[in-house]
Amino acid sequence: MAGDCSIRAMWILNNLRAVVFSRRFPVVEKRWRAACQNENESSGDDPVKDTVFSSLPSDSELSAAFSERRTREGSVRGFGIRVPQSKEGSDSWVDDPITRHIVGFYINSEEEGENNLLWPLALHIKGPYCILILPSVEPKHVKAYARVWAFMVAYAIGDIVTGDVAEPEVVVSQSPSVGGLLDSLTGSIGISGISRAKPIAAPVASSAPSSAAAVGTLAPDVPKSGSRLLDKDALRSFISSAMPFGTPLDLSYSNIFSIKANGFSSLDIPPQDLKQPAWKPYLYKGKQRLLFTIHETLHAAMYDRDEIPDSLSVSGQINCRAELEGLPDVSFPLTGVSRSKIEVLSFHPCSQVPEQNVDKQALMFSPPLGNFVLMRYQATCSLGPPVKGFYQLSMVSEDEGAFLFKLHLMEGYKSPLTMEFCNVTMPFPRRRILSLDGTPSTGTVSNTEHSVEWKIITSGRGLSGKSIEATFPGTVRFAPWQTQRSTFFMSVLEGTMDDDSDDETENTNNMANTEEFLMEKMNKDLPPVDLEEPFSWLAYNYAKVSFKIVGASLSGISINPKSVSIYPTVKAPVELSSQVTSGDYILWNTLGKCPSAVNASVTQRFSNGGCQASMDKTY
Amino acid sequence: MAEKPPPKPISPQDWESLVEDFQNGGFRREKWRSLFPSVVELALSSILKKEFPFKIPLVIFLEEFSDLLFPANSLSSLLERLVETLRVLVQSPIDGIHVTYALKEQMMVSTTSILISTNSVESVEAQLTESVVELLLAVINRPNHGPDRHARAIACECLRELEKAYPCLLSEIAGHLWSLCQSERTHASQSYILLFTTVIHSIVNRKLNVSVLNTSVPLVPFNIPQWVLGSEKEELLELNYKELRRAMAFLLEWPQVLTPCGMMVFMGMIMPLAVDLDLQPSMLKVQFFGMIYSFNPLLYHVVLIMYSRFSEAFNEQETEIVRRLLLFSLELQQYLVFRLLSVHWLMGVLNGLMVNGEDVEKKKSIVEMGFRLYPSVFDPLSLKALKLDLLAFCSVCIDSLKPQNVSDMIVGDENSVVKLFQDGLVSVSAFKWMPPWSTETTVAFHTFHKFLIGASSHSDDDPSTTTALMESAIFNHLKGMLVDLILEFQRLVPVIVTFIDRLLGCQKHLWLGERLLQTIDANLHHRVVIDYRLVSYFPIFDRIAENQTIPPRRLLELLTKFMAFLVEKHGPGTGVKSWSRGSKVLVICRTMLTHHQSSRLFLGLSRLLAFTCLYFPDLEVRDHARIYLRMLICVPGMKLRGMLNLGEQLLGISPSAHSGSFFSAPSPRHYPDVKKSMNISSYIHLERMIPLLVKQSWSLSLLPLRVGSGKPDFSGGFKDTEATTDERELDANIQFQTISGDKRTDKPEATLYVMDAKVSEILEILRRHFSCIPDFKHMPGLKVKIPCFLRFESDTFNHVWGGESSKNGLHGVDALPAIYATVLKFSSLAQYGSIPSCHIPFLLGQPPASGYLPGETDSLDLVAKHDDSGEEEIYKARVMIELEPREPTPGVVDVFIETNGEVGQIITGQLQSIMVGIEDLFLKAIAPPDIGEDVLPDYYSDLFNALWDACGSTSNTGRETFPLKNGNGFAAVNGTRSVKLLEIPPDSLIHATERYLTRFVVSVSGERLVNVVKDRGIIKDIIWKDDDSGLLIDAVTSVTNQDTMPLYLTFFENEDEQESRLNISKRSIGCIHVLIFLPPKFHLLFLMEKGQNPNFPFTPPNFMDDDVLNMHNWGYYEPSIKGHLSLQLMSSMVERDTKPFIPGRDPNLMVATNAAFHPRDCVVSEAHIPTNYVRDSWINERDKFFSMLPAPAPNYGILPEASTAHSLPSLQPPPDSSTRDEMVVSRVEELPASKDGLQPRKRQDGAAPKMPKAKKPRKPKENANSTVQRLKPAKSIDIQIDGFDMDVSGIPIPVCSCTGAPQQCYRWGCGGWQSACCTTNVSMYPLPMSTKRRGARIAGRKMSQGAFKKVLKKLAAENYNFSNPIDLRSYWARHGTNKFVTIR
Repeated sequence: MAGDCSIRAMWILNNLRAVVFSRRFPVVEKRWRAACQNENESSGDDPVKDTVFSSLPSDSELSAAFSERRTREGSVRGFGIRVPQSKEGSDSWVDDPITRHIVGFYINSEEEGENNLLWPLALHIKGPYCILILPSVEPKHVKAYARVWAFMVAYAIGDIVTGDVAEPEVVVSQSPSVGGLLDSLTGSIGISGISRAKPIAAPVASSAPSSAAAVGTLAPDVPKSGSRLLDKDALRSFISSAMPFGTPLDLSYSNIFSIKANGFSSLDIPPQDLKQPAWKPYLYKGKQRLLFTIHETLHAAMYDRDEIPDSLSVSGQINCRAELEGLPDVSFPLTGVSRSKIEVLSFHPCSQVPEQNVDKQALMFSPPLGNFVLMRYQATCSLGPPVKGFYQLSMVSEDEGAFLFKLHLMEGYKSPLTMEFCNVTMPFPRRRILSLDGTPSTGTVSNTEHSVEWKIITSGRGLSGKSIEATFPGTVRFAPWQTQRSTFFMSVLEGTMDDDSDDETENTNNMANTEEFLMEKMNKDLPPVDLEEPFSWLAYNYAKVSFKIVGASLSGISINPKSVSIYPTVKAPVELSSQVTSGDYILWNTLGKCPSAVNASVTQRFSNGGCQASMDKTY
Repeated sequence: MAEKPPPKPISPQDWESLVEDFQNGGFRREKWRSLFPSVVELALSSILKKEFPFKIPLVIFLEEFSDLLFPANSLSSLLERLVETLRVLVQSPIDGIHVTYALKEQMMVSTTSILISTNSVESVEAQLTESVVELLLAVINRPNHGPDRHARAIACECLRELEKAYPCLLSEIAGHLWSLCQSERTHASQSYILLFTTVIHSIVNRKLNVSVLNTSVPLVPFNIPQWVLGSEKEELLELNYKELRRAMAFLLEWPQVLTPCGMMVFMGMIMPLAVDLDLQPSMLKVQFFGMIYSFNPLLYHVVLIMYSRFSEAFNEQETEIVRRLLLFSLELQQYLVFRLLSVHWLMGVLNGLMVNGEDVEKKKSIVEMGFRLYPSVFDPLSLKALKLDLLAFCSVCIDSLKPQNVSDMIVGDENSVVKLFQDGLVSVSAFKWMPPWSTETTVAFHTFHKFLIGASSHSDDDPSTTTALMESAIFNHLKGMLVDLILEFQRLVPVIVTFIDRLLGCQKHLWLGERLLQTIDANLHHRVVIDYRLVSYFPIFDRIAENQTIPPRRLLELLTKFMAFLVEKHGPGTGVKSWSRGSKVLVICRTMLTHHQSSRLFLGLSRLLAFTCLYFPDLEVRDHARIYLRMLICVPGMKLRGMLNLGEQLLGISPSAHSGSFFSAPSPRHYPDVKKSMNISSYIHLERMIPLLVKQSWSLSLLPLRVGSGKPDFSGGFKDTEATTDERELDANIQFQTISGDKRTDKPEATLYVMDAKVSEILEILRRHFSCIPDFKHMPGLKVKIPCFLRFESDTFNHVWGGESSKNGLHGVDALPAIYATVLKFSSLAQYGSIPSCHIPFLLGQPPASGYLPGETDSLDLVAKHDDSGEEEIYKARVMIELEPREPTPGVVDVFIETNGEVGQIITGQLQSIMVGIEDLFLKAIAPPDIGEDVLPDYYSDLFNALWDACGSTSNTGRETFPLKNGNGFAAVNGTRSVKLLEIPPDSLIHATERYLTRFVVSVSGERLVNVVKDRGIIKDIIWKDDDSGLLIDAVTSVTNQDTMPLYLTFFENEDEQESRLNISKRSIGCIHVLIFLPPKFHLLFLMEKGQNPNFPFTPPNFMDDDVLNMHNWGYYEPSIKGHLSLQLMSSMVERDTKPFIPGRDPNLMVATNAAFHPRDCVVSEAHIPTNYVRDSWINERDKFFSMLPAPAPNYGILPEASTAHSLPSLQPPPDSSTRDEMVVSRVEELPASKDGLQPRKRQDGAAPKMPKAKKPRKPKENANSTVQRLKPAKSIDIQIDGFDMDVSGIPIPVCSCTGAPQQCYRWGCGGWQSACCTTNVSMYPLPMSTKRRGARIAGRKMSQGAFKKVLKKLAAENYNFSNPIDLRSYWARHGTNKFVTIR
């Protein structure tokens, strides 16, 4: 039972909170019941045992429980950490952000007539769908949870993790992986759909793991079924292959899909002396070549302040597509690893642990079919920021702001680094722009109702080998501020809002200047953000830079195509490309508030220490 | 098949809806129940149909609901059908359309699943299972076969599942499986490997001695081994280690073939195998540790599982594991949930390390790695929260390591934990200015909590010491931080309250919350600004008020100040504000009352409430304050709490005793219980506070009261029924006459009367006197008050009414019964007018005489009951019977009581009647208002003489009538005299006089007597006639004999005053003149002459009007001192209206305080009377209520201000007992000032109650300032420069000349300026370039109002002509608010 990592059931709910798909695994359920029985027998007359919900809820029961939890927790995900609205016994009472992902339902069963806890459920939200996975964990953990519950002591997860030293993995082991699985699953079959509404255009999918699709030159071989509808058949066949008995075996959708779609012919001959890995059901046949793409995403918080250092971080990955026959091993040294202060290196499971040297990180891997992420890393930017400068916005009056950009692009960047495009966006999600006044020194300006966009470099005219300076002073006029009290404020915060507006009189004459006054005013109906957001974007003034740089990596990491070796030796051309895109590349308004964090010095020390530690190791 | 409400499903659509109904559950599933056994058959036949598109879902459906669809009674046949179907499908060739691999695979899976879940091996013929296994084995027995490789993999999984369900099912054919496993080279090899691993695993688990190399048992036909069927237990207990290890070695060769999921499953079996087979864990480690470098969380997880199982083998790698987990959480590409999990895992690993490891140094270095995990800017908030948790966790770990190793802590010392906390918090520092509901705030407080509770977990056996935590730097820092937060960001108050509530709500951390509250209490009060915004702190105050560990003193002081502020600020526009703030303050007061011992609160709270109910501008608030004050004063603690309880359960109070609490809905109504109320007077007593002097029996003869009834007949017999002593002093015969004005006004004689000068003088005096006497027929008459006590006996009461509280195990006062809302009604046959009823809100029963320890009473909630009599008083309620006598007769007042018991019983009944004696009616003569205090004795003396004369010489004044005050009534004088000789020593007479009649004495004459009386100092403020009165005193003899000689009194012929004085001069030592007024308009005059002759008579000349009223035996004084009682009478008379306040405890304090409170009373009561009649009946009791302020202590806090408060509403702190006396003195002296208190009464008449302006010393210019600001509130900025106001709005807009030409500046902020011309490009005199940022200039093109003021100041000092625009070029501020602004 301990090593069992199975799923008792799964449900997919749509945004109407109706179950659109459900699947139960009777074999797992049978084991679970046996385990429950054992547990109950061994623990004697434990009063808590009743709280273990022994049978699976029907779809309607689950749907009801889902709605109930949603009401209880404020949203589908829930509060995550304890807030005044939290009720005892609810997930947010536990006060752990993980409860936004691992949730508990109270099933109001018709037969049993009482509230029963169904826990843990992994919750994954993708597009309009909520995917719920009920993994099979040992009943004693559920009980422990219930007991903690009963004692009003809040830290269930924390206690399980800290108190259950022997198996720190209990809760978390199984479910998230399945969540991830379904993500890739649903994502690739096109369930995805609506991306979450963010205050600004969501950064280019820097965190999307299936980055193969982002590699422009390579056509992903994951088939895309354009249907927006839930393809139940596809799901069913995926499940029957990936986890026929509720225990996942292979979660690679592309593999399973090809197997299901294509089957195998007698021409697919297994290798003679090697076992074909389970993650590579087919072997490549055809012209051989090896493609690498270094894809980096640059995140930056540019403060332009003396007291806060700018922070710049690169998260990168090397994507690979190995069109090689047979089951060859590929190896090559990574260059620039030490220079670029790599903080994290992690690799595809197919690769061997690299030897770590000062400036030579050799990597050997046996490539799977298709596009894959060979390695990931976090690094600091070895060059300066590609877009440097500041953004200032000063509210001249309540409805008029004077702003100024002064930017240097590609300062110190040499060929072949080319900036393909560069846009600067000033989002004003809470104000309506009436007019915009001002001419940039270069580029074009346009504005929508809630944002101003300045295209410094338009695609087609890349900037390479030189740096430019761009300034953009201007004035933006807004429609008068209107208090926007959403229903959220009416409902949730009714209790916390003071009934008599105490500070109205004081505010007007105490405020030192327009900006503070305006901010005070606007903050009054600032909605809270989700825990998934880094901060409340709405509260700040900032400009977001988006660009794309090709030609080399910013971290300095690279692959020398000449030193790539393949065993057994074949002659295959090696192609290398790299591109850098912007992630959260934010210019904070120098004259306003900005979020920050203390980390630079610490991570610096840390990365050195980390390297040191890893250097000591030999494999 | 019997019923067919739902038709048999035939088409795919039918099946689809059926499946949906099943999944939906409930009634939708139920409706298919009738078809149950046949559904399976129908489904199976559909599956075998050629043209049927819904096959796979149908198969899955059968699997999912196998427990419903395969009932036990028809299981066997159904399973047979199923297996048959499977066989057909598996063996039929693939046509790609109807029979696909997918269908085959699903059929295999589902059949297996159904077999397992129906427990086919045991429930039906084992042969069925055997045939399925055979079928599956046949499928897998074609290694490396191309097209069906995936089906083979699935078949392997089916077999594995069966093996898991029936362990060792396949153990006999393990050899075959191994060889299949070896030869398989397609991607299906994972399934083969897993199948073989499973078999090995179950063999080892069951300890079967089976050869895994042996292939002697044929693969097919398959027979279920005996041990699976359970008939034979394991016969062999020796494992074939050698073979098994070989198998393991084989298995460990192929990890890279497995998918991550496969690896997970594989490792789940390999690890126990390794343990059972005694393999080196390091072997596993070498093989699998590399997975930690993968970015797949599953592989991470595998390593972690391995680590948790074999932690000792990973000794060297711990650092690496921790490091990898840290890094994992930093990987931006990962899904958030995995990053969260990695932090969780990290905490788990660290925790495990802390528990198990021994090497402190290593632990430390590992834990310190955790410190490096600061949140970064773009981390999602949930991750930030978890990272902060981790920081807290690490700091705890380091702390716990510390005692063992104090030296060279880099991060672990106290300060750096604080530093850590601060640095970590930066990432959510927005919580300070964001709205309180923002997620940042939530995260920040989540972190506070984590850091605060630190090491103390919630488990009960956690030994973490509270003191250590309390002394920790982080706790101190947090405390300070919270206080600062509260002060700086008021909007955070609710959040902080929630935070504290959370701590308070947890038993383990209760003390933390309390400590925080204490800190806030200690620090907040002197730092907080008292203004309207103070109200935002009220939630905190409420918690403080609730908390018993915090002395309420500070809070009360603050609230009192706040109330004073509200009163002071009250104006026409602040009505609602004052009301809401005031009520909120009272809510806190209520909270205090319900949570604290009243004794702790008493001083402060009574001040606060008294202040509020006197001065607060809002009526409702005043009322509430008054109610609370009354409760505080007269209801003991526990009962009070019960009454105030709004229904919530209070700590330590059993609610049952107060089920009918003050605010809750009334319990079922109790009707008066007649039987129980019968003997009510036996245990509820209303008693006179001052017993009557004379024990008397009455023989009252009332002569018909008639106008002009002719001769007075006072010959009614005197019956000395109870002559207790022979020292009877006097008796009196009083005759009264009321003359109705309308009948006498036309009397002609009055004007014809001839008068001499003396007579006219007498008449003058008498007219004046009578004009002060109210005519009770036309206006309210004079009132006589008889103070009484109401008390009842607890035990009897309980006995009758079944007091519950005594059974509740309560102690002390709380065990005593109480009565609520008592109404006393009075009636009398005597002519006392209508007597107002009395209201007593609350009264506690008297404890039983025995068993009440003084120690217990010390803990009473009422304070300031330091002496014995004081303790008694909580069981007594003072009742004031107000009579308005129509004639000065003693009488009996009947008393009816109506009250409520604890549980709402209504108790009614008649109490014992109250006797009213003649001495109750004694009043001092009314002085005309224009008589000054200093000449009052003269006036009384003159009045006495005049009355005396008028009585004596009726011929002179007899026909004269005197108009009464305010009415049409007239009075005529008609008096009688009698002389009585008293054979008592003069000393005792003086004693008696002093004791009982002091305040009625108008003059004393005779030098000796004067000396004696004056020396005693009791009688004062009268006319002393020692020499000029002409009494000749035989000084020589009398001095020695005085004490022994009996006193004799002489009849004093007052028409011949001089003569008689001469006559008696040799024998008398002096006279005492006593004037007593008896309402409504009668007088009693005594002239007590004390002579040396023992037989000399004393004659009290009595006079009054006609209309005879004979009272016989109205009483005898008993000069013999009866100790206490007579003393009380005496003192009461002394004090009645001399000084308004007498320090010290005194039973008649009431009177005094009444006087003192009077001016304020009117402020309070008049305002509310029109609105709240219901409450009035209770609230008007306030007078008594105040009078009951027990002992001086609480009063002093209020009273000094009481007289002066109108001028200065701020309260002084209460003096402690050591300064009490001075306070008293000062207040007595201040009393004249209280006459000012009449002013507010007049003001009160207005609709809006106004509070008098504070006369705080204030500089006039400030005043001027404020008025100006009111006139121009927003725009104009007045600047005060060197004490001289300057209207900045008048001066021209400043310019900046940095471009060479003056350019007008823009306004900036409130009163500040910013340059319009200073840009980097335009300016000719630009500011220097910034060294830090290329292209930018250093800061400074703005100035705030403050800076501008400075400029103005400077210029003013230089005598600048302000009509010219100021050039600000050289004055721009250098602060960093603007670095660069262009405005066009």
